[in-house]
Amino acid sequence: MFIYKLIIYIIMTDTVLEIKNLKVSASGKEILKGINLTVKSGEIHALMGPNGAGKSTLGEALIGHPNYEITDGNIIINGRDVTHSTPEERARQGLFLAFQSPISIPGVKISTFLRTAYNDLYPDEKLPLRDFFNMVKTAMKDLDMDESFISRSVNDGFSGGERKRFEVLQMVILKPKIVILDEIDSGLDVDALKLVSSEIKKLHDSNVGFLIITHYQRILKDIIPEFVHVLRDGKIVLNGGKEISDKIEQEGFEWIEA
Amino acid sequence: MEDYNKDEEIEKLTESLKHSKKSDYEFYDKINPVYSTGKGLNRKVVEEISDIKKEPDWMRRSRLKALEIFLSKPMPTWGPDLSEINFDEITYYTKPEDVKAKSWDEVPDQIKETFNKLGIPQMEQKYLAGSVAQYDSEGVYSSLKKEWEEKGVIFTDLDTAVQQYPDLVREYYCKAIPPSDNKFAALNGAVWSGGSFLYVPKNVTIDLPLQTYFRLNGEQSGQFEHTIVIADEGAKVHYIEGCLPEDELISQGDKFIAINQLFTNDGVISNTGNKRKITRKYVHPYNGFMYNIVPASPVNAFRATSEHPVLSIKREEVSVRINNGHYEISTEKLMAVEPQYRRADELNPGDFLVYVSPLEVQDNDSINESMLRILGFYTASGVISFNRHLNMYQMLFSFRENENASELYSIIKNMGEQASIIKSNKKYIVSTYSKPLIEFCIHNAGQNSNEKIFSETVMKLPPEKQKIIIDSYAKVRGNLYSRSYGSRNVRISVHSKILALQIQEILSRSNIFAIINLRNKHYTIEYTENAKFHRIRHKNNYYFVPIKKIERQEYNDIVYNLEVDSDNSYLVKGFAVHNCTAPRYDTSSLHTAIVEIYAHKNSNVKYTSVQNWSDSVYNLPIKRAWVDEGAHMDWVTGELGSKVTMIYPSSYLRGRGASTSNLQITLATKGTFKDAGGKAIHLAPDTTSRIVSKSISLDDGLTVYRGLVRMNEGAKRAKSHVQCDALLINSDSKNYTYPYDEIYEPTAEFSHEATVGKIGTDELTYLRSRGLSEDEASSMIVLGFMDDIMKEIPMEFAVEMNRLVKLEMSKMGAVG
Repeated sequence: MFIYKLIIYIIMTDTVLEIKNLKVSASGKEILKGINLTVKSGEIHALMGPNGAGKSTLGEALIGHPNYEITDGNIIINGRDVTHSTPEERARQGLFLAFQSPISIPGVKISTFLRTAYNDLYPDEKLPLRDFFNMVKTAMKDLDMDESFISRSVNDGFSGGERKRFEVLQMVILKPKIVILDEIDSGLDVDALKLVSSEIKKLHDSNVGFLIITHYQRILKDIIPEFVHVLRDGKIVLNGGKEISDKIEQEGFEWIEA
Repeated sequence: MEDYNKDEEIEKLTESLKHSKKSDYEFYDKINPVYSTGKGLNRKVVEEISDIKKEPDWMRRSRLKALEIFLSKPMPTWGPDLSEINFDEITYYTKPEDVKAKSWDEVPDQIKETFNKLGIPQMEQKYLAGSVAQYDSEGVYSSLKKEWEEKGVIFTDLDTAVQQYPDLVREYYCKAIPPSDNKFAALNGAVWSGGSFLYVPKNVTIDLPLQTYFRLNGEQSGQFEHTIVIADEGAKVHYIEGCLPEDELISQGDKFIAINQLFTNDGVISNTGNKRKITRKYVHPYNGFMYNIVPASPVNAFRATSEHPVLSIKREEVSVRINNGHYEISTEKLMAVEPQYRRADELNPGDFLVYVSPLEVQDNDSINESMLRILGFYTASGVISFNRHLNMYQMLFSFRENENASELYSIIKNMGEQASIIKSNKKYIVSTYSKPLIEFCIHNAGQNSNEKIFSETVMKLPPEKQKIIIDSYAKVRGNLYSRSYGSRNVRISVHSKILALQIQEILSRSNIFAIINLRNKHYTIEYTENAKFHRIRHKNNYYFVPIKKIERQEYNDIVYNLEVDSDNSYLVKGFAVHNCTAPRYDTSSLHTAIVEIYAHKNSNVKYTSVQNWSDSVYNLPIKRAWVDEGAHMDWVTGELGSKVTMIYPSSYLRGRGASTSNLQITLATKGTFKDAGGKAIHLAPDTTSRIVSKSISLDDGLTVYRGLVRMNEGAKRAKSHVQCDALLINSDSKNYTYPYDEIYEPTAEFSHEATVGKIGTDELTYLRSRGLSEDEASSMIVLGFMDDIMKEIPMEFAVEMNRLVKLEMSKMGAVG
C-alpha cells in the first residue's frame, strides 16, 4: 500500500538537476573547468571519458564532498540552489550518488544506518520497524543478497561486488529522484550486473533520472542512454546520443577532440 | 468492596502506638554511635580499623606493615598528576553498622523495637534497615545461594571471610598484589574495607554472572574495597563488578523509574513541572550519613546524602505564635514564602517539602468518557485471558456489587460493543470480546493484572479526563466516607507502588494531594474531595508537604546524581531536589580498590567492571590475576567517568597453556585523563595473550595506552597480540601510546597494532550523503569504533556510554 502511494508520488513530481558552468578545484588544482548539464526525471544520461577526465570529481562535487571546492557556477535542484548546501540537504532534495569506491565504516551496522537514513529522508512517514525491514528484505532478495548481510558493518570486509550491490540496495531503499552511478558496473560479474541493471530499470520506470558515469560500455548494453556526454580534461567536449557510446566502444576516446 | 478489616486493625494499632509516644523522631539517637576514624591516616587510625573489625592478629600486622610501606613510598610521577590528592583530608573508615544487616532476623532487637514503636510495617522496616535491594532479589538469591552452598561456593564480603574462613583468606590475601608493589596497593592494604570474597571449588561452574547486586552484605562498594576471586581447578565463573542496587524512583511525568535505570538524554520532570533532559548521570562513592526523609505521605519517603539540596520551606519561616504559647502554621505565610534548596542535614520534621505536579498536557480526542470509565474499571478489576475455544481474547471484570457491573455493562453496550454479564459465586462478572476495547485497555494500563501501570497517553491527558478514570477505579477498590461541608474522604487500595505514585500524580493535577501508605503489602491512597480546608496547602502546581520524620543512617556505598538541563533539578518520588553541581568530595575523592584473581589449573574466570564515577574522582584500582596451567582469564574493563583513572589489569600466565584476553574501552571527556592498558606476563610455554584497547578522547580529554607484554626466557611458543586504537574527536583531543614490550624468548610470537584516528571526512560524507546529519554521522562512527567491546560490557553501561557519546557529539557541533 505504502509503496504504491510512493510510486504515485514519484510519477507526479518531476525533478530537475541543473549544473551550470561548474568549476571545481581540489588542493588548489582546477579539475572541472565549467560543466553544463541538465538531468531530468525519467532521463538516462551517460557521462563517459578517459581516466583522469574528472568524472568522479563531478559525482562527489555534486553531493557536496568537502574535499572539493566549487570555485564558480551553480548546482540547482528543482530551482533551488544547493551549490553550498551540506550533503544531507542535497540528499533530502532527492540526490543520490553510488560511489565508485564506497568507504568502509567498521562497527556501523547496516541495519542501523539504513533505518536512520530512511527516517531522516522521510521524517513524516514513521514507518514501523517491521515494515521497514520487510521492505529491506524484499530489496535484498531482488539483488540476491543474503539476509545476514543486514547485520554486517557498512562496507567492512566487503568484496568489490558486495560494495556495489550495497550501493544499489541503498539506492532502492532510499528512493532518490536523481541518481548518479559512478562506475557501478566495475567489480560486478555478469549475473550481478543483470540484477543491478534490472533495479535501475525499475527505478527508471518510476520516473527516476540517472547520470551514469562510466569508462566502459558494459552497463550501457543493458541500460540504453538517451543522452551521452564525453568529458575530457574537465570539460564536456561532446554531447549526443547512443551513437557516441557505440563509437567509443569501437574506437576508444582518441577520435574525440579535446 | 475490598476487605479492609485487617488493614484497619493494623492501622488502629499503629495509630494508638504513635499516640502513646511523645516523640516520633528520637529513634536514631538510641542506636549505638557509629565509629569513624576521622580524617587523616596514621598508625592509630589503622589499629582502630582493625580493632573495630575485631580482626585476627595477622591481618592487623599486615595492615600496619602496609601502612609503613605506604608512608615510605613516594607518589608515582610517571603518569597523571596526582599531587592534588590530599591524604590528610580523607576519611579512611566509617563503620556502616546499621546497613550491614544480613536479614531482618539479624537486625538488632533494639532497632526492631524502635521500628515497632513507630508503627512502621515490616516491609518498610526492611527497607529502612537497608536491605531493600536484598529484599527485591531475595527470592532469586536464596535459591541460588542454597545451590551454591551445596556445591561449596563461598560468596561473601572480605570482612566476613576474614572472620569465617581465616585460613583460606590468609592463603591468598595480597599474594598477587603485595603492598610492596606500589604506593596505592600499600594504601589499600592498610585501610581496605569491604569488597567481595569468592571461592569456587573444583570443577564447579557458576552459569549466572555473579554481580555485586546479589551480595547480601551492606558494604557493596566503597573507596578502598578489596576483592579476591579464587577459581579452583576446572572451575568456571563470571564476576561483574559495578552492577548497582535499585535506588530512588524519579518522576518522568508519565512514569517513575529507578535512578540507576535513567541515562543521559532521558527526560525527567524538574521542579517547575516541565520535562527536562538529563545531561549527565553521575555515580560516586559516598561514605557518610544518608538521610531518609519521610513526608506526611510515607510511601513518598526518599533518601538523600547529607549535602544534597532539597527544595523546602523551614517551619520557623511560616509559623506564628498563637494565644496559648504554641506555634501554628500560617497559611498566609506559607503561600508567600519561596521554597529554597537546603542541605538534607539542615531539614527537620515539620519543615515542608515541595511536591511538584507535572504540567504537560496532551489531549487525545479519540479517548472519550466511556472509554475512560472502562479503563478505570479495568485497572481496578479487569483481567485479559485467551479463550481457546473461540480463539479470541476476552476481557473479564469481577465485581462484588451489581451496581458497578451493570454500569460497566451498559457503558460497553452503549458503545455498540459486545458484552455479557453473569453472576457466579456471589460475584458479578462482566465480559467482552471487543477487540478495540481490549487493545485500548492493554495499551493504557498493561496486561499484567497485579502490575497495572498507566500509559504515557493517560498520564498526559487533561486532569478532568484523568479524574474520570480514578473515580471509576475508586468505585471498585475504594471506600468513601462522607464528611460535613459536602466533602468526602476516599481511600483506595492499589497493588503496585508505581501505580500508587501515578494516581497520586493524577490527583495532584486536579488540586488534590493524596497520601500513600503501605499496609500489608497493599498501598492505600487517601484523599479528600471538595474539601473546604486542605491539610496539605498548595500553590499552583506546588504542594507543601510537611516532613513527618527524618532518619539518619551510616552509608558506605555508591550514590547517584543527575545533571539536568535548564532547571537543574529533578523529582524523587514527586519531591523536588536540586541536582548537585558541586559535589562535596571535590578535593579528596579517591577510589583505590584491589582485585586479586587466582585462576587455578584449567579454570576459567571472567571479570567485568565498568565505572562511571563523577569528574572529581581519582580512580586508581589495581587488578591482577594469577593464571595457572591451562586456565583462562578474561578481563573486560570499561572506563567512562572519573577525573583521573590509572588502570592496568594484569595477567600472570604462570602455567603451560595459560591464556588471557583483555578488552578495554576508555572514554576521556573534557578535562579528564585516562591512563589505562593491559599487562600480560608470559612465564610458561604455550601461553597466549590478547589485549584490545579502544580509547576515545572528546574535547580536551586525554587518553593514554600504557601496556606491557613480557615474555620470559623459557616461555616457548608464547603468543601475544596487542591492538590499541584511539579515536580523537576534536582538534585538542589527545592520545599517547606507550607499549612496553619485553621479549626474552626467541620462539615467541608477538605483534602490536596501533591506530590513532580522527573521524574521517570520507566516512562522514558517505553517511551524510544518505541524509544523516553531521551529529548523527559522527556519533554513528564513534559508536561503530567501540562496537566490538560494547557487546561485552553490561547493558546498563553500554546504554549510558552510547547516550553520552551522542550527547557530547551534538554539543560539539562541527567536528574536525
